[in-house]
Amino acid sequence: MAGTRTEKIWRFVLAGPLVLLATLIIMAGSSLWLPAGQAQVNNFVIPVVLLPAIWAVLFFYSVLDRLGRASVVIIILTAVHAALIAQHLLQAQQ
Amino acid sequence: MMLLLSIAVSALSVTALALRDPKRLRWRQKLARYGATPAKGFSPLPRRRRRWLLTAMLVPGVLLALTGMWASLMLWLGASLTYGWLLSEVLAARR
Amino acid sequence: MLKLQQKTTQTMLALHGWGAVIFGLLLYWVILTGTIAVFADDINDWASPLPAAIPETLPLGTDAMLRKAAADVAPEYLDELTVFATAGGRIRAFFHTHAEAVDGEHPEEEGVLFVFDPASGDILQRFEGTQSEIEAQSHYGKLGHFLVEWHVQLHVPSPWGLMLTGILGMSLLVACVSGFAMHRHLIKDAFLRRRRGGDVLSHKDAHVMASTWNLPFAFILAFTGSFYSLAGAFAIPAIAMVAFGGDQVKLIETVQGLPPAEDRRPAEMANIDTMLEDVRAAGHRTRFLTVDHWGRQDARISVFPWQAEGELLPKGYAFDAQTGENLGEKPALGQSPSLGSDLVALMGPLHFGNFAGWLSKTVWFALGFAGAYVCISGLALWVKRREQQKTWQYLLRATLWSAWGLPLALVAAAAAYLLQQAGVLAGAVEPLMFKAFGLCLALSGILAGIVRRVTGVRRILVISLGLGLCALVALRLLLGGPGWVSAATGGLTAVVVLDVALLLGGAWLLRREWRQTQALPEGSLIDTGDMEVNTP
Repeated sequence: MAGTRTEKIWRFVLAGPLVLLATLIIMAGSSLWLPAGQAQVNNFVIPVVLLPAIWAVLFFYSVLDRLGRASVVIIILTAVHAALIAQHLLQAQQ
Repeated sequence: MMLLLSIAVSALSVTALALRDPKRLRWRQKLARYGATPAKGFSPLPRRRRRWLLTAMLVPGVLLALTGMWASLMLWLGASLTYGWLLSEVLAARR
Repeated sequence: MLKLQQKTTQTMLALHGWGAVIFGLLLYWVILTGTIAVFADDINDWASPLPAAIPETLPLGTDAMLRKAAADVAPEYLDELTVFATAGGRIRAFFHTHAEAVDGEHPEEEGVLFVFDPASGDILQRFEGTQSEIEAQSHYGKLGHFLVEWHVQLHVPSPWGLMLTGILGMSLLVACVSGFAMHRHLIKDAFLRRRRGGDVLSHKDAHVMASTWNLPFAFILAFTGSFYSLAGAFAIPAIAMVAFGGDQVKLIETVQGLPPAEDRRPAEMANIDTMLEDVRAAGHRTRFLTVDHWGRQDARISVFPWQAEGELLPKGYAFDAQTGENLGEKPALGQSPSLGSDLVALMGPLHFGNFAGWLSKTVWFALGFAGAYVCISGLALWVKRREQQKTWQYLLRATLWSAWGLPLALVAAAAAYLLQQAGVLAGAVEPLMFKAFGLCLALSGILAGIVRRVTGVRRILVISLGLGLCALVALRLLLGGPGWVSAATGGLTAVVVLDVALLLGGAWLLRREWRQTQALPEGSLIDTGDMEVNTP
């Protein structure tokens, strides 16, 4: 985790609050693309059950990979899911 | 019954592995040089035999999983791991 | 054995160490209280037994008790009923409705709680009000509840407490993964436990060996525990928000199924005893039941038993409230079997270890105990490696305070429960337990801070705990609890087993401490160049 002071602070912000936020958004967003199954529950139950795993994977990725690449990957993943959620909520309002 | 048998097989394998564990025995030999009781009658297990015992330790778990006995699998795993830890502590406490 | 780049190993080491320094002590609190809480039901049975054991939960006669209670509550409280067993096998039936709070949010249950003696069918207690008002007055089962609340949310109000334990669970996950990744000889060192006068190597072996054996379960418990905390704290609200557009009713309907069309016409309820017998005939021990719309055409009854022998996943059965017909198993979630439902159902047995009675609970207790040991031995190792730095000695004192002071404070809380039950202490039981707990924790904290030598801190706290455990048994007997002969003849297994466990635990601690005093002081180590041993 070497690097300049700014890099260290960004790594800390990325691995801490940002990964937590990303986990929440990815979990909620994935309920929109996961198959619901016959009982209509899989799509929203599986992300909740896997929540600790989603967080752990993102967390370790954010501390172990190169800072630039880790930031981009996590931000894209989050943005895609946030967009999915926004689109879904807007559709629901109409 | 399957459960008890599984735990027994794994516990026996763990015991054999622990008693003749090379690293543990090496430490005891060192201790013996300074007056502690040496681990008499136990020589380190050859690598092959260790592998066999390790397999024997894990086989009951694989069988329980293959037969879908999930409750027994969890109990076997928990009991064997606890036994391994306690046994290692007890062996270390002996002077 | 993992081969990692040096940089990765350093990162893992930093995560493992600093994570432990920041979260280790609180994590120990959560793990230790969770370990004891595995036996929460049995602890309740131990603290407040009936004269003779109730052979099964919700025995024959439950139907008559519920009918008697139903006739004695306001009609709106017949909306929902939950029936559980509590301390000593007493039955706890809560007739309630979900009253809207003034702000229109956070509806709280409101109704009447009955506590029955299943042997006689008598109503032992009756409390009316909102759930929090009722809980403030009730007594039975509060000792176990006190423990469980420490474990679940450290007695911090929801959702903050859940978030806190969720973060602790995630930190345990990180500790498991980083510990596994950086330890290069996991299997080779599984039996290596070198003891040489409490030096760094001894501390390292104690920590590494315990964590190696405990690793699979630490991972399982961390995963399932974080799931429970995080799901409750924010995952379920977030999912409700996104997948159901914030429509909680729709979420509940998807999970529980559409309620039958409302039909308020009165209807005679079928016999609940028969339903319970039906579930027992399938090899289960009954656990709890719920009734919606008691005495109406649209009534629904569900019975939830313990797992039958060899089963891991819990089941639930639906019954026709008018005919008593068994409508079959109902999935944990949704209206037909699904992977999601099975996964959620799996979390319970994996986390609580309550799927095979005493056997599984004992195993889970042992594994939890190992987890608590790993926390404390890890912190001790951290400080040992920085022995020359004075600041870290404060962490060692805090570690010793937590390690021994917390169980001691729990013993004090249990004593307060027994004293309140016997009428020696007046007032509601929960505040009394908090006072005793807090006082004891504060005293042991002061001790940990002021005693000059760190070994002295440990000695005083361990001896106090050893004596405290034995004294708890004496107190229970002195306050009129059943003696061992009458407990054994009455079939009160929990009373006998826990008394013996407390005495053995206390005696073991005292003996351990006695042996430590007999051992040679650390100054008599001989230096042998590559190693040191205690001279015999």
